[in-house]
Amino acid sequence: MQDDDRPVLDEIISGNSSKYEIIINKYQARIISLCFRYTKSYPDAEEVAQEAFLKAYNSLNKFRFESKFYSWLHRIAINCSLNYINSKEKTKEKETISENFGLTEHKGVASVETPYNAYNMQMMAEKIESVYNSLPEDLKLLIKLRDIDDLSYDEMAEIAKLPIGTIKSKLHRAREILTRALEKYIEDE
Amino acid sequence: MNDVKNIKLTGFVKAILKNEYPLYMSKDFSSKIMKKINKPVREYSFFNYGLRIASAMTFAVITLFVMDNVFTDKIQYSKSSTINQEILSPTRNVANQMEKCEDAKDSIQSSDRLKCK
Repeated sequence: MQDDDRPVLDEIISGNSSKYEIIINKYQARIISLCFRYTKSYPDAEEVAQEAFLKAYNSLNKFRFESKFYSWLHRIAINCSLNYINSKEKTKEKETISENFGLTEHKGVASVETPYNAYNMQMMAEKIESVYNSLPEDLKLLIKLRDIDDLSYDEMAEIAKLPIGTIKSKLHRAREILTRALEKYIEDE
Repeated sequence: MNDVKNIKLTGFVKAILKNEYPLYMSKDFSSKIMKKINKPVREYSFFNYGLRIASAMTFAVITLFVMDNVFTDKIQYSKSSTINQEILSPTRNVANQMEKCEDAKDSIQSSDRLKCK
């Protein structure tokens, strides 16, 4: 199974620990969101996510690349979240974990004041949503296939009826448009 | 735009598109983890272990000393005068008793009663 993270992970395993920041930056939002489903509190979700990233880092030597790195990290984050719930004796919360957590659930709580030194992801989501909807149809399709449906380039080539090289360049262009829309939200760093 | 920032933005975009994002996220989330990762691991030598045990023992001794002196009631015992002496049951001197033993029967306790020959 081809994993996009393999080259970075190989570098980390061989001793370049600073490269782990790339992995954290890539998956932090999704992992915190996953932990939040269990903890129901953002500070706790960040704490549990932090623990998951550290656990993954410390057991990276045991990772055999038989699955995608994100799937493995996802599993670790779930285990950490369950440990958190058990330790806090929040067994009732286990039953109310929503599987359909997403954009629609966030709407309605957007008025809550952004904590100091935190990204307002709701604002970013609204921006991305509008930029994504304004993309040309072919770029929108490629983004959907790759970033939402997690298809491989071969599968995408089959569906879009385009050579892989063209898909990669179009995808790069689409991502650039989307990321540029978010630049102003983190330009103060 | 540098690589790390670009990767962060791509991660945000993907999380948003997949509807897997938190409402808020600390700006220093990744740096906090990296700080922990790069924190030097403290190595424990034999000397360090010895020092730890010694300090634990010192603490225990001081605690015991404090507990012994502060928390226990001080009971002052006087020196006993009965050391090496036989403790006898109470006796009663009857050498100067004037009345006849029959008359004294009612006035003394049965244990102290004289035996009339």
